[in-house]
Order: sequence, then structure tokens, then C-alpha cells
Amino acid sequence: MLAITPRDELDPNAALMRRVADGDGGAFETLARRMHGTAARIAARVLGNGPDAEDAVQSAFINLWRKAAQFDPSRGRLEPWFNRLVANACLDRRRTIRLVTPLDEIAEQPSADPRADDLLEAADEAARVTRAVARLNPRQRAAITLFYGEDATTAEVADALETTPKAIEGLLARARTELARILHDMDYDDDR
Amino acid sequence: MMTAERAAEILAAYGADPARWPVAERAQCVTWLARDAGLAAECARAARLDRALAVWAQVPVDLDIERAIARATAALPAAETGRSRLWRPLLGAALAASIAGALYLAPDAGPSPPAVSSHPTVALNQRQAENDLFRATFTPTPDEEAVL
Repeated sequence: MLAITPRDELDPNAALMRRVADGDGGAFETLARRMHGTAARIAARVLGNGPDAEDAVQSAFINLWRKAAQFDPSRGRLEPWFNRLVANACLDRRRTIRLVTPLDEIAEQPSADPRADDLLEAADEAARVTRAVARLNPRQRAAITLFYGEDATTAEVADALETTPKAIEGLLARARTELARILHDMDYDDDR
Repeated sequence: MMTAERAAEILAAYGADPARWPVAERAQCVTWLARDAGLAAECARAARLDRALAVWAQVPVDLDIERAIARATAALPAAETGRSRLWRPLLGAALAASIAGALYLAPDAGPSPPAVSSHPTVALNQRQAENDLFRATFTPTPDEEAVL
């Protein structure tokens, strides 16, 4: 019978992780369904929608299984720990593929929303920013994805990217500067 | 200590939303923005980029995540958990120790037939014979006792 510790009560995922570490496939699948939204968002924003992102998600989940015994709930929640696995899987994929995958198709999905016309401008802006983000280098994109896409703290982004919060501050600053430049250039190109 | 340069760095890295700024520097940074027109303009530029990123963050993703989970789940039996990997060297060490123990306890008189050593009664007889041999070799004779 599985003992429930106070920490498990604070983080229900911690108990599941202990079962995963013991080789419980059912617990793994439960966790995978809880975490898949985060994994999908991070992978799609870093790698674009497509097989590379799906491979990265798959790889992150397999690492969740393999490394479950390394997760220590006394050091923090599962989500940031798992975000690190996803970010690393994405950056590993980025090393094996040649060019940035265009992400603009994300925002060009046809919408069934009756207010689609009202959302058109926002969709255009989203497509424009998505193209700009796709031109950042992988670490900048991962930092922007975690900080703005997942509302991670600087410390959590640093943990995910295995660096210091101070380094993340610099990374975010460079990413924002680069994004502003790319968006400015896009505006210029559109006006011509 | 907060300076205009530090406030500019905070805006450049974290944007215009004070909720994203380092907690320890938040209040002082707000004070600087209120009294420095240059920083206020920088804050307005940062806010434009924040709005763009907020729109981007709401873009839905379109991945076949079910397929990714199914593929990961299918790969699990081949992917050992960390705990099972941790046990592997311990099991190896235990196996090595048991083999070493067996070799240490085995008699030096060459290999004996497996059927003999694996039978408990025969094994006891063999142990008795070894003890008799030990006693015959090292128990002093009456003459030796006298010398001793």
C-alpha cells in the first residue's frame, strides 16, 4: 500500500511520481494526461507544430519515466521539473534539425468561432509575432516560451534551462531586443 | 540600489508589467519610472512588446499529443525507470559477492560432482569428513602434548 506523506498532500503529482518511479504504467499515463498541455505548448512554441514537437514531447515523457526516481518533491513542484525535461528535449531536437520551423501556421488555423472576424486582427498579430519568435535562437525562444507562454518565474526558467536567474535576465533582454527588431523590420517590409 | 540603468535593465528583460519584475526591486523601479521621462517612454515601448507576446501566448497549439503519449507509453517497457537502473549495480554486486562466497567456501580438492554438493545429506557428510581431516592434522598426539 502506498504511504501518503504531507508533501504528497501538497502536490498530488508527487505521489504519482513515486508510483511511476516504482514502474507503475497506469500512474505514468495519468501524469502524462495531466502534463500534456504544458508539454504541447512548450514544444509547439519552440519547435513549431509538427513531428519534431511531437517527438520532443514523446522524448520528455519517456525521460519522465526514466528519471522519476530523481524527482525530489522536497525541492519543488513537479511542473517546473517536467518543464526542464520538455525544454531539454526541444533544445536537443533543435540541434538535430537544420532550420527554424515556421510557426505561422499555428495562427492560421481556421476558426469556428462566430466572432472570427473580430478576432482576425488578433490572429494576424499572433501570426506576425509567431514568425518573429521563430527567428530567435533556440535558447531565447525557450526562455520566452517559458516566461511568457507558461508564466514561469525567472528561477523556474533558469532551472529549466540549467543556468542562473541572472543569465536568464540577460537572455530575456536579448530575446526581447531581437524580437522588437524583427517586428520592426516586418513592419517596414509590410509598408513597402 | 536602484538606478536609472538598473530600471532600464529590468524593463528590457521583464517588460512593462511590474508583476514580472524581481520582487525586491519592484517598488523602487516603479518610483524611478514615475520620475524619469526616458524610462517612462521605454516602459511604453516594452508594453507594446508585452501585448504582442500576450497575443502570441494565447495561440492554440495543434499537436497530435495523444499520439505522442501513446508512443511514449508503448516505449515504457524498454525504458527502465531510474529506480530499476539504481538497483541494477546493487544486484550485480550481490551476485558477484555470492559467487565469491561460493568460491571461498568450496573445497580445494578439485571439482566435485554437482549432484553430491547439491544434496544436503551428502554435503553434511562431506563437511564431517573435512572436520575429521582437520582434527587428524592439527590435534596434538600424546607425545606432542608432552612437548607442548
